[in-house]
Amino acid sequence: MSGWAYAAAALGCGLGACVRFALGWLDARKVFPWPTILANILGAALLGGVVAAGDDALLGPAGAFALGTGVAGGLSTFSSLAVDVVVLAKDGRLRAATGYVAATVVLGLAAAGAGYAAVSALA
Amino acid sequence: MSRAAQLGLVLVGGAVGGALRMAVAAAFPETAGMVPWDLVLINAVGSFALGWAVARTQARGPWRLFPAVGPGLLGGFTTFSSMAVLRWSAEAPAVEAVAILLATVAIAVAAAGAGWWAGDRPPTPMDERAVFVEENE
Repeated sequence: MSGWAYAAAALGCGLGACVRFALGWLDARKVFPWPTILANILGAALLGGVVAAGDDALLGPAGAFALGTGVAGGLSTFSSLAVDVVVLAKDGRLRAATGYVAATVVLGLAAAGAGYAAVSALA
Repeated sequence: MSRAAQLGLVLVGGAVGGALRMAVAAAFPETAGMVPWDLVLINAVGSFALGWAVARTQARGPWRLFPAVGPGLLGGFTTFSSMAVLRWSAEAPAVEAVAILLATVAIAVAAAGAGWWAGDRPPTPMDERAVFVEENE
């Protein structure tokens, strides 16, 4: 892939990170990090769709790379997920920590499957 | 700092983090099987670094460039989506896909805990709400 494809994917990653960051503004209470769960759900659904689209004419290899590795990769995150669990656990909120991981894993996998199924049905 | 300035920092940090992720993935030796070892490593290292950075901020006060480093660079470097699509991208059976994801969560949480321990100098009581605010500030 060309250097431009990598540049587009890096920029897409930055844009995805901006969307993830902005999702946090929706949460005024800041008692449970649901915006991170939401960002990971959206990122998983987007990448599921990109994988289903494959390298077809619509996206092309560079487009799929920018949208999947770039935007979906930047929108989703693992570092906040891990730190959120540490913070909840340190605060003694073990149930919240368990629920957080369960929600991320279950909803994330479901979203990836839904994104894949939706684009497969369209294609 | 205005929200636009924060987004600018996140954009730059996120692009750098994404470029680093692609560079590590490209440099990683090809491995057989369905476990994406490059992403496991990336997520562990990024989680350690974020744990360190957040604990340090808690202990020593806020850090103007945090949006570029935390949500931007480390958020863009690490990724969840690729770990969630293994059933379709690597044709992993459902049980394996869930096991790989849960194992990665366990590794990343352990790394973040270690990073927290390393960055929490001097040891400081944690303010949970402040941490969740910091993720977006």
